[in-house]
Amino acid sequence: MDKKIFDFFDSEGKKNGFGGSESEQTHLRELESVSESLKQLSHYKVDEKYFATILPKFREHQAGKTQHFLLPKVAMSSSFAVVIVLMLMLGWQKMNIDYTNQLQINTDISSANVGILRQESYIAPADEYSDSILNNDKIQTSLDKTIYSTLAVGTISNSDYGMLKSDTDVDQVLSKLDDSELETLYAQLEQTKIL
Amino acid sequence: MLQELPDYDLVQNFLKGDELSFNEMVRRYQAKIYWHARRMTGNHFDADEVVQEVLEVLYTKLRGFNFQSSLYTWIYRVTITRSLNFIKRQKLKRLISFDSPENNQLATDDDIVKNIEDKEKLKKLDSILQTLPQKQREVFILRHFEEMSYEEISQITGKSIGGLKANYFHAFEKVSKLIGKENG
Repeated sequence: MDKKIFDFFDSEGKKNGFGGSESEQTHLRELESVSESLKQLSHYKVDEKYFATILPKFREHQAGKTQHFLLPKVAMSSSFAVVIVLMLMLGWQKMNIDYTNQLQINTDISSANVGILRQESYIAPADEYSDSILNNDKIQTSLDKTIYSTLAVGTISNSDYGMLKSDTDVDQVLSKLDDSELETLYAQLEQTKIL
Repeated sequence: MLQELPDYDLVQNFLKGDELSFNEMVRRYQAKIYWHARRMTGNHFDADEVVQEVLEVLYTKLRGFNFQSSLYTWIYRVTITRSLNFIKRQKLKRLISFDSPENNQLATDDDIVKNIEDKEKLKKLDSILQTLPQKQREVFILRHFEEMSYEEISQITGKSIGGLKANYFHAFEKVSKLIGKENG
């Protein structure tokens, strides 16, 4: 795509006319045709009733929220740690990655003894970790202990590594991450090509 | 009449405790919030969730809003941030999900668009937009569909106009190819 012609197409003064060559004129018409196609794809009849439900839903949620017990910040930090531990597990299980760089995830967990979770770099052969981790009792026990001890440092009364059994639990944990925690985790995973 | 009040007055009224003014703000901007979220996330369910998140932020953060930018710009900024964060959370969720990806597919019956032909168009558009990287998608949506100037987009996103233009150019190039394929 020609940048010069695109700039003209994209400019607000394009109604003044384009004095380019025949091929440039053709190119410009192509761009306009793409734009037109896109506009056609974005016109539809919309069920306006949906918009009438937005506010009531929000107000209902607000009313419900005030009745809920707010989890302390420590609980959130613990959740962050759980997600990281899960990432490490899944990094082993799901990915077939050449870990050429050291993956070091630092977690700052308030009032917790879990300071740094570290996974040293190594090259994982294609199928070494997939099923074997799931079926290896020793590794499973060790990971379970890690998760348990991570959770145990929090002050949630019902801390239990067994709570992460479904997507609803995963949702809960993820929803407790604040934006900066999410950003940190996401950046780490992108860097290691897990995401 | 609340509908006739400028944004500034609505915010001031809300800060004094008038909840109806907040309702009016929502009515004024909800469609814009929804469509931005919809195009970013690619489906109705996720967009609906983003809309609720945005309202939550608006409600709690309006107290700190000081009109250094227009309400419109600020709401877009919140919408963009919430949409991007939502997409990131979804990616993380997919990574650690217990269910198979098939089970995570959303039912598409409940949608704001009911007509089958329109649904097809929307699906096609969503699939085209989802091929763009997040940042390019964001600029493309703001520029092409929301018809904002680069100055406005720059105010909202905090990015340079040069960078935005480059993003839009690359996004348009990809979309052109996809539309070209679609049209044979």
